[in-house]
Formats: sequence, C-alpha cells, structure tokens
Amino acid sequence: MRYKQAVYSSSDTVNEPLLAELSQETREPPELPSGLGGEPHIPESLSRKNKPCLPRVSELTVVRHFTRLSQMNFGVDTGSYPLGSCTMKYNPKFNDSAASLPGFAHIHPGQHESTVQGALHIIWELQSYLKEITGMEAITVQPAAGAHGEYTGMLIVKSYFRDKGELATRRKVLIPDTAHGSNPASAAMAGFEVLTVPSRDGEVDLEALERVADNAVAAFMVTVPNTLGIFESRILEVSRIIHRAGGLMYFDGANMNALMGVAKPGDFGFDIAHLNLHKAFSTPHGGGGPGSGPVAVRSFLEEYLPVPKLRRGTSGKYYWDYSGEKSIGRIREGFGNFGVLLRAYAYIRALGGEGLRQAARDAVLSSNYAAKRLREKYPIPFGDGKPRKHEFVASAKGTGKRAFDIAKHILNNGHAPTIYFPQIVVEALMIEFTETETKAEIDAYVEGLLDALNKDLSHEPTNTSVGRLDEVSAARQPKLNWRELLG
Amino acid sequence: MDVEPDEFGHPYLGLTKKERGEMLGFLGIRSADELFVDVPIKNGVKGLPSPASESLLFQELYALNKQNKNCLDHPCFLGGGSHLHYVPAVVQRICERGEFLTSYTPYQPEISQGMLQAMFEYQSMISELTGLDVVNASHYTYGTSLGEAAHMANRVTGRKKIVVCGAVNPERLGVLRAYAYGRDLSVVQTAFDSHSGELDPEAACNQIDSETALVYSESPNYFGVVEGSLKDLASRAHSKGALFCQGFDLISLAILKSPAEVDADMAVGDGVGSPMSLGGPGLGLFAADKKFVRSVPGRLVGATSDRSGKRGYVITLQTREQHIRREKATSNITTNSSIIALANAVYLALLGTDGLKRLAEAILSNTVYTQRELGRLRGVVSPLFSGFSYQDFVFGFEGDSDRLEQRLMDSDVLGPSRIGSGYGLGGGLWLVGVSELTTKQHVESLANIIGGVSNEV
Repeated sequence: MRYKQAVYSSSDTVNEPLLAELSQETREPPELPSGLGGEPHIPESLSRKNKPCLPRVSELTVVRHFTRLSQMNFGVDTGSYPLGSCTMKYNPKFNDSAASLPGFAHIHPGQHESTVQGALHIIWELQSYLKEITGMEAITVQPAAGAHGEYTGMLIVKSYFRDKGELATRRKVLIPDTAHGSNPASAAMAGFEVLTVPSRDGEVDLEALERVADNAVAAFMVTVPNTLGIFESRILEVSRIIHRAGGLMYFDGANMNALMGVAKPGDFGFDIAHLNLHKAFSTPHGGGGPGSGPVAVRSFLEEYLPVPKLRRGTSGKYYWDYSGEKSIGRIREGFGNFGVLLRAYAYIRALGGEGLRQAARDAVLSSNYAAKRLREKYPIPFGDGKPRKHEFVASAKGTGKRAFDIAKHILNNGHAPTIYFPQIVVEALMIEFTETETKAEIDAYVEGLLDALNKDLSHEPTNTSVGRLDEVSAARQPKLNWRELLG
Repeated sequence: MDVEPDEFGHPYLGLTKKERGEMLGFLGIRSADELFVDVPIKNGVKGLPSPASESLLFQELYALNKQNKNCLDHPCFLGGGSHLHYVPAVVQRICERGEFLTSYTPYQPEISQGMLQAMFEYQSMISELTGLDVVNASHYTYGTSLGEAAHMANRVTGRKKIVVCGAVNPERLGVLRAYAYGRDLSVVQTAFDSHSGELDPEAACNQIDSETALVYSESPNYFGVVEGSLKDLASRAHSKGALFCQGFDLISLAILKSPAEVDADMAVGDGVGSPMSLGGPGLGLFAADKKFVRSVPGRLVGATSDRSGKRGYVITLQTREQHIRREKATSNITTNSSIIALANAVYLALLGTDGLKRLAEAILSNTVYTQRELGRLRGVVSPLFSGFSYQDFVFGFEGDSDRLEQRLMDSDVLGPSRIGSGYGLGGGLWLVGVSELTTKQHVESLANIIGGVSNEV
C-alpha cells in the first residue's frame, strides 16, 4: 500500500496558513442571539481591557481550513495504524451516532436522577459487563482515561493502607521495567516511591521480585500482557509473592485486547484493575482523547471507590450515592465520560461475549502471524519461542537501519509502529495490528517493513504533507502560539 | 497439519475463517488455543449478552434516549459547572471527520500535521483569551486542571498549602482535595462575603503565608459572582512566594478581565463546543505564564520547520511527560481531551472576537433579565448577592423549598438546583444557570412554578 497525503501550500514555506493569517479585519461576526433585554452594566473594574485577537473569517473559510487540516492527518479510518500499545482498532460509526441522540448528548449532570434513568441504565449495565470481564466485584467508571484510572487506583491503595495503619511504612510501588511511563508517574503522583523490577526473558524476574517484596511494598503495578506482548506466565506466583508481603496487585488493562472474553485479571489474583475503553473497547481516540479508564476492585476495596456511586433501588430506579467516609472522594466532576461509556456499551452489545473473545483471539493470531513473517529480517528480542499476544516488539538492531528511519519510511505507506518503546528493547518497533485488519492489509504492511531494509531511508518520509521536522529547535526555542510564531 | 480456525464472523472483525486458517497454517499450529497456552486460567466470560444487530441496538438505545429529559426539549436552568450552549453545526461535522476522530496522539508529526496545527491554533486562541502564553492541549475537566495546577505549584514552590478563596464549585473543590491527597497537600478554604457573594479579601490574605504553594479563586464563582479583588489576591500571593491560579469561564473572557489582567500565574477552566453529555467527556483548560513552561503538565505543540524550511508542528518539551520522564514527569497525563480541544478551536474560529463578545453579552443580558423577573415574585430575593453575576446567580426563597423542589421535578423545567446548607446562609437558596438559549417563555415557566409555590402559603 502506497499513500500520498494531501498537501495545500499557500507558499513555499507554508502549507495551510494559520487562522490568524486568514483573518479579515473588516469581517462582521455571525448572527447571535441578542439577549432578553436585561441591560447589564459591567463595572469598569471587572471589564476586560486587552481585546483578545481571535480570527475573523467566513464560515466556509473555517470549514475549508479544518477540512484541509483533516486531510493532512491520518486515522484508523484512513489506513492501518499498528501503533503498539495503542490498540488502534475500528471505531464503529454507529456508536458515534448513538452518542449524538439528544437524550444522551443534551443532558446536564445536575439533572435529577429521575430525568436521566435511560442514561443511568446504560452505565449500570456497562458496569456489570466490565465487572464480568475483569472478574472483579465492584467498579467505578468515573476516571477519564487510563492514567486517571491509575491515579484513582493508587489513591485507593493509599487509603487502604492508611486505614490499616501501614501507610508510614508501605511507601513503595513496584513496577516492571517494561511498564508504560504513566505507571510510575501515577504512583509518584499518589506519593509513593517507585522501584523498578527488572525483566528476565521478557517476563518479571521472580527472583528479583522476591528480593524487593517486603513489608514496605504497597502495590505491584503490572500490565498484562506486558508491553513486549508477552503474557506474564507466572502471574499466579507473582500474586502470591506480593500478597505474602502484604501488598496489593494492580492490573493495568492497557493491553486488555489480548484477554477480553478469554481470561479475567480477577482470576490471577489482582485486587485492582483498570481498563482503557478507548483501546480494547473501541471508542475513538480523537487525536489524543477523550478516553475512559474504569477501575474495578475486589469487594474488600469497594468502600474506597470514588463518589458518587451508582445504586439501584428496590423499585429498580437508579440513583447516585454520595455517602462513604472511606471513599477517596471525587476524582472529577460529574459521573464519568458518559459519551465514551455509551460507545463502549454499544460495542460490547454488538460483539457480545463471544465476539469479544473472538476479537482477542484474532488480535493475537494476527500479531503472531506478522511477527513470524518479520522474524527472519527483524529480530524479536526476549522470550524466544514464547507466543506473543496482541502485539510484539521487533528490533532494528543488526538490520543496518535505525527504527527512527524505518518509521519515517513507513509513513509513506500508512502509520508507523510505536518506536523506541519499551526501553529495554534496542531500536524497538512495537507493532499491534488489532483484530479489525484483514490479512491483506497485514501482509501489505509487513511487505513495507521488509522493503524498508533495502532502501535509502535518510530522506523519508516523502509522501506526507511535510518532510522530517526539526524537533530539536522546537524544544530549544519553544513557539507555542501564533503570536510567538508570527511576531 | 489440519487446522481448526475459529468460525465466528462479525463486520467489526477483519479476518475470515479462511484467512484464520492460512495464518494458523503459516504458524504451524492447529488452533488459536495454542497461542494462549501460557495463560494459566481461562474462564472466559459468562454473564455477557449475545451479539446484537445494529438495528436492534438502535431501537434499544433510541428508547433509552427517550427515557431521558433533554435540555433542548425542556427549559434548563441548571448551572454550577456545566452549561447548555448552542454549538454551531460546523463544529460537530468537523470533529466527526475520521482523519481527526480516529487518529492517535500525534507522535509521528509528519503524518499528523492536521491535528498538530489544530492543537497549535487551540493553544493560540486560549492564549489570546487568557492572556497567558503557555496553554497545554489538554486536560480532562476544569477540576482535574485545577488538581494539576496544585501539583505544579507544589513542584515549583516546594510548599504544601493550597488556599482556596471564596465560593468555589463544590465538585471541583472535591477534585482538588483528591489531587491534594496524592501529594499530601493541605487545602484551606477561606470565607466569602455573605452580602456580595465575593471572596472576603481579608480572610483570604490572613491564610496566605510563607507555607503557601497556591492561591486559587474562581471568577465567576460558584454563585455566579464575578470576583473583584483577584489582582490584590495575586499580589498578596506573590509577596509570599506563592503562585496564583484563577478559574474562569471561557466565553466570559470576551468581556471580563482576563487571568493575565489580574496577574494570575496559571488559569484553569472548561471548554465549549461539545455537548454536555451528562458531564463528560469535557475539556480541562490549562494556561500558565511563560516562565513556568518547563514545569507545566500535559502536552504542548510547538512550531518548527522541516528540512526544506517549510513550517510544521510537533509535540514539544516532551521531556516533561510520563513516557520519557516516568516517575519524575510533571503529570501522568497521556490520553486527554484532544478532540474537544479541536471542537473549541473550531467554535472560537466561527465566533471570532466580536462574536464571542456578543455571545457573552447575550448571556449576561439573560442573567440580568432572569434575576429581575424572579425578583418580582413574592417571597423571592433575586439576586441574593449584590456582587455582579454572570451566567449563574443565587436567589433566596422564603417559601417551602421542599415543595418547590417537588414541583420542579413534576414539571417540565430542569433546574434550578438547591444549594446545600453548608454555606452558613440558612436554607432556601437556589442556584440558577442561564444561557444564550434561555427564552422569555422559559423564564415565565420557571416564574410560574416558583410563584405558585409562593402563593400556596
């Protein structure tokens, strides 16, 4: 598959101009409601002096500007997007339509529960599905993203040990060296010290874990399968080690696409698990967000979940419960990213339990297939002979090329893999196709990766709207808005 | 070898049975089961429904949507953090474009210039409105932006005390407490003036000391009152070595003093341009003075050029972020609210400076009109506070508030909402939110209900 991105050039140095450059000083603003006739007089001391400089442009100018920008962008709707650890699967259009229905889109969080029973029913049902999928007894769907879920989980850990009187001594959160950066960042945000546990042959090194698993450990935070795409096959032993030391087991569900419908984190001894609905559960990533990061827990941690908690009364009516003195409190306004929750609900209903399981099996099959096709040319370090799950990490080491250059070349075919992550793999190329790609798409992408090894890559990419960008000077002298850029 | 490919088919799945068979053959295995041999317990799931057709799902979801009373069919007087606003049709159409909506974080800049430029323009326009140079893209909500501001102030000053001045939205205050809990920060709340509804400057200044990391106030505040003493507050904070953060309403910045004009170091708020959707997903706005650029949390897009000298955009200063700095990052944030930041950029581009000003004036006009109409009713003190109000305001009700609450529930009017008794002002207080969509008929409906209850005494 070759690809040539749209490019609109207003000059040799500028593609699509900035709105500030398209602005017409004399343009009239759009028609707006004039107000009901209350005539306010804004006190001088409160009124704004410096007029903000927003663009003055016609509606068609706005439409063309952003349409052109969209054509200089790449999404799952455009082509294969095998960005490792991001689970870039098809985002069903139906779910977006459903979220736009007025009874879902135009409801205010301050409405009385009796006026939003339909919405609460969806949250309730989704909660029960996600509890089943994780094998946990209680859940909150409030966290707005995976990292927000991690922070919520870490606050639950903190409150749990505070109540046990052990917080002063349990200061450490153990995290494998394959973890996403958000794990240590979340643990640190909750006030814990982070201790990195090394891997051996692509899995947590149990001996190293034993050595550090003492009564200073609050939790072990692990992504399963890990970022190498390898399932932690001795996870039951890991849980025993951590529980024996009195710590809690935290499951990062970023890679749940490998396991949903197949196996449950609750069965592996986890006490807390978060899911990323914008990954395995198909909600669109939106160029960076929004997401949703529900946190499921075992029953002994239920009282620590954030408020409010959704309840169903004896009459079948849903309501929010704000009580709970042990709760970690409020982690966001409102009740969760309902627009995202609704899409995930629709996705689970469309596939059903059987379909989720099939999605996981297909994602894993595709990943192993692609890994084997690449293996002769690209080494796949760690865990030799172990099956991969939803993703795998190849290395450009020894190929004579750098992962960076290969990625830039691949941009001519579609989207690049994740590169230089996980850090334990030299020249890493992290690849995750997901179950929504056909075999033909996977084959074409693999051919592109093999092809790259025979090419001069130093001038790539050539088919995108710009060539290689100078990231170093961008950071040295940051220009973060159009005033700084245009002067 | 004979292969046993899975048979389940679905439009959301890419592989056919035949393709699965070919892949199994290539791998030299009989079944996909062999790829899961290292998973010790595979209980599957039992409590999930069977697959549903799109048409069936549509019927079910349509029926559930009808069970909710929406703010287009019913007059809405709810405020307190979320507000109904009309969103021009262009905004949704642009945000639905798959090239934007189904893209990931633009880590590969050459193929993602569209989203990067849109985020750069978002940063630029929020920077224009707040007057602060550095705007990140983005946070989850107003409240989580505030939580991150507290963490940043703690990082910058090395101090642990957060002083919250005046009437701050209680949900947001709750979020701040949860973020404070993580870093073991203390949160102190200072009084408001019960006559004006504004923060009490003396009470605030008494709490700001050499232990203070952050001073925070919202304007408009929880009561809708615009704070008049923010500049003095900022000055006091700075004299003690603390940072000052203002919470703001985006549209109001077209007419009300900007955070930069009151010398704020940071500013947080929420976005416009996306539907309320029961309160999420939303957008947390975060802006800061340039001197803190290397301490701010979240994603920043910067301008640069490619090898031929062509202008381009990249995610920059990434060494602050979790994927590089791990436990030493300025925040754990990864997934944020980019598509809603895009919606904000489109929204602001459509309205422009003058359009936004007219919109803010219309909201203000409706605020004053509604205050006055309710104030005509027997047993109603509206507005309760003498301070200047924007969008939200408080009225006092001398009648039976329990009965009023019941009447409102039985009616087709959504809101206003009752203010809890935790403010030391006694009972019978109601918070009203208006918008540019408020009509005279809406206000009349509300006035009739309140007047009806008032006259029943």
